[in-house]
Amino acid sequence: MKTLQHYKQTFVDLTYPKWKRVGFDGFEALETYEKATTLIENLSYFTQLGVKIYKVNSEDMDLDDLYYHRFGKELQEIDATNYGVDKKYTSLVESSFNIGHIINVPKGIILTKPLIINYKGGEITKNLYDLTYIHIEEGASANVIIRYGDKEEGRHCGLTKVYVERNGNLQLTKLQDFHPNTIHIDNVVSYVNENSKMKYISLELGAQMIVTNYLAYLEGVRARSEAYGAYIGANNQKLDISYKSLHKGRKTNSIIDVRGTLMQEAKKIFRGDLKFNKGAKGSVGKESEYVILLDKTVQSDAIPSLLCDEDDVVGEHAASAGQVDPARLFYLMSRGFNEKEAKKLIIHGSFSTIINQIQHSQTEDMIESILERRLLHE
Amino acid sequence: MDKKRTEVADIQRGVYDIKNISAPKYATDQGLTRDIILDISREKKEPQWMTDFRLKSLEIYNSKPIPTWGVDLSELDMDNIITYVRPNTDMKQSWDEVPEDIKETFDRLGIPKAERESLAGVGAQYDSEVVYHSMRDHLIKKGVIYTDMETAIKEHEDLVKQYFMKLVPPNDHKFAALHGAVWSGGSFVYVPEGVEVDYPLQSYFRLNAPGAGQFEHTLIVVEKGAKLHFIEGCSAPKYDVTNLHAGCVELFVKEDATLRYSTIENWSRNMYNLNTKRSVVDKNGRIEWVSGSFGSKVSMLYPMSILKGERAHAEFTGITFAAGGQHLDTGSKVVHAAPYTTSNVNTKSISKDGGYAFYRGLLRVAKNAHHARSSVSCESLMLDNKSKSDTVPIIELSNDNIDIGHEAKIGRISDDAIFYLMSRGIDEQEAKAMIVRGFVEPITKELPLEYAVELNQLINLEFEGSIG
Repeated sequence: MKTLQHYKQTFVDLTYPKWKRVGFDGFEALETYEKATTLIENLSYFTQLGVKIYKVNSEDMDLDDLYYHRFGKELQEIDATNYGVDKKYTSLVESSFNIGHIINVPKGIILTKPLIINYKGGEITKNLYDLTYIHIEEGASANVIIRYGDKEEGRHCGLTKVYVERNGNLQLTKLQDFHPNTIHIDNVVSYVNENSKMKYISLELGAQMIVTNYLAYLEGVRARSEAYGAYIGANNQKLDISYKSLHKGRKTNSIIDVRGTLMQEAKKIFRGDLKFNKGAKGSVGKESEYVILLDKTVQSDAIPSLLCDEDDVVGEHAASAGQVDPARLFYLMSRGFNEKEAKKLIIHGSFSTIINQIQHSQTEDMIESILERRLLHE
Repeated sequence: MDKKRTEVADIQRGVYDIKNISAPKYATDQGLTRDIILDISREKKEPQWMTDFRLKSLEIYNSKPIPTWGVDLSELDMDNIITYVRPNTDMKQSWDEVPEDIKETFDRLGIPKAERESLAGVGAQYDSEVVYHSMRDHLIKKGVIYTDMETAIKEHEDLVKQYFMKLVPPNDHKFAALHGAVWSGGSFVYVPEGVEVDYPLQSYFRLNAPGAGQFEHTLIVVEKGAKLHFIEGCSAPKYDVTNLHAGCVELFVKEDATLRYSTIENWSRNMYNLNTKRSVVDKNGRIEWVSGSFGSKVSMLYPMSILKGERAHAEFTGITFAAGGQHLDTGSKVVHAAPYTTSNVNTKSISKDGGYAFYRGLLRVAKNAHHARSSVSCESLMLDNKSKSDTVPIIELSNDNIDIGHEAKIGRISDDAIFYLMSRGIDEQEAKAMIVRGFVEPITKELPLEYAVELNQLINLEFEGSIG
């Protein structure tokens, strides 16, 4: 069983990875430890229903008692997968998280309202290293929305671990609108058991350097993962976004659907890994990436991989890139929109199927106003 | 490191009758020396610039490490490179020494005895020599140069020097450097401006050149407005005792020219096939690759098209069939380096009986390549649960005014399809073979008829004895 000490040592032993495509070699992460802050909306609604929500940070919590003792077995299973952008960054969070939550939705509880968690970095250091563990017990269902929106420049490294027991259901949305100079590194790993479903929606709408990784480990029979991502790359932003579906159980199902737009010297690398282990009979995995390119200064790279050790599966992927469809542009402009507005409408249209799934109107409105600002006024 | 000698390597000793050379450690690669290279060059009576070129390549080869990605090269017996290239090597063997399964395959494929012996490295004269000569005269009248590389270096020195290893320079990778140092055999084809060669040229007319086969260099220049269809190599499993094939193919397609380059690579199952093929296409030019990879123990092969001129076009149609014991890492690379360029890549791979088929592709659009259009499609069929099939395409786009699409699919033969055919009275094995033939049909229809027939027969052979 891993302890804080183990993660601290791992962090110290490893060097920062060098990422050539986005040109990022790491940062000095731990000058001073300063707690970050969080706000959960409507907390009482959830606690009344028996949902356990513990606020945590690496300095105050006795993790052996709570985190590792109660969820040790599940955490071990998650640890056996190869999650995260790199062990250097995940161990940074696991050893030195300055805010976080442990959320346990008990057996059979179906939450009809979304659980909204807002995270904000330390006042002085502006560092945000958040660690969230979400445990969905058998037959339970929840919709969790994590929002990051620091208006000042800072550094973010987040890790969210999800364990969905059989017949459970989790929808997790992460929205980030960080300051345009912020470094944003985010890791999500979900372990999905028999007959369960994990839906992940990611909106990368801010920050300067965006490096993210989502891994769904489809362990049990009929486990299902859907991952939807939307991003905007503008103003010299660098994005390295990675989505992995690992099919282990039989008849498992996965979708990866990522859409984005690039302009103003932005640079993006999309990595999609659809992997079928031997034994994942009857499984189906689909991966697609569509990017709208808005000017010739951009760089769009993609590596949509399909790795297959099992013959009785169906794996598909599709990737396409190009400009805004000229016919659509013409039509909108003929209706009185100027070019920028017309492009914004089309891009928004491409994101709308993702945004509509969030099921929280306030969050959706926030996203609309961010899109308006970034696509029309920047 | 472990020096695993395969059964074939044992036969090799006997055939070559070579005294035991002290085999140096793999890490220092002392098998290949300057003296050996000088011997080769002297034997071939090469001009000084080629000797210097070989020596420079040797230096580069020694300075580069073995690649750490792709296939496992740990069993590749690099110490015996010296054996492959020793100039006094008598490449002839007797028909009796050819392994039984290969002899049987020749029979089944219907390859005439004379050709078999040539393909088996026996090197005898054969009837088609006459045909070859008459073809040659017809081409000469048109101004086409079609000769083996050694002759080309001497008789068309300036022309060859202009192009030789300019597209695949020795410092490209370790095996390009090795090739530069020890290349031997291969074809040189030069098609003058405006000439259309009206029948395909086939390179296995070249097999009886000395030292031919494992490090052959093919150099083709198709001048402005000219047209050529070139068919490389043989489609039968070539019995070759050496276990490394590091050939090189360089294709120069000039403005408005068209070149179709068809290959069925079916090396014997002990072979490490590390081949480099590259073409550069000028304005309005067109390169069409038709590629089938069947044999070898291990292959790394990524025919590359550089679309240098406006409106250049590349077409790639490929099939890879990995059976038990094989690891075939193949793919294609296309670089759009000019505006209005287009490309179409259509690959299929099949893996069975524990075979490992890996598609590795690159599609790159340079900053200036506006209005580039490309469509890439890879389909993989796994015929059983013992095999592996991976697809890792890389797409790098540096311009917005483009239209790029890529799709890939992995799966097995649908049970419904087999059931349907069986309900029509076809047995299971034949049903599977039919479906696989249908799967590869887009490739077979691009091949010249005799190759298509051989491809289908190869598929049939692969299916026989399968548990089904």
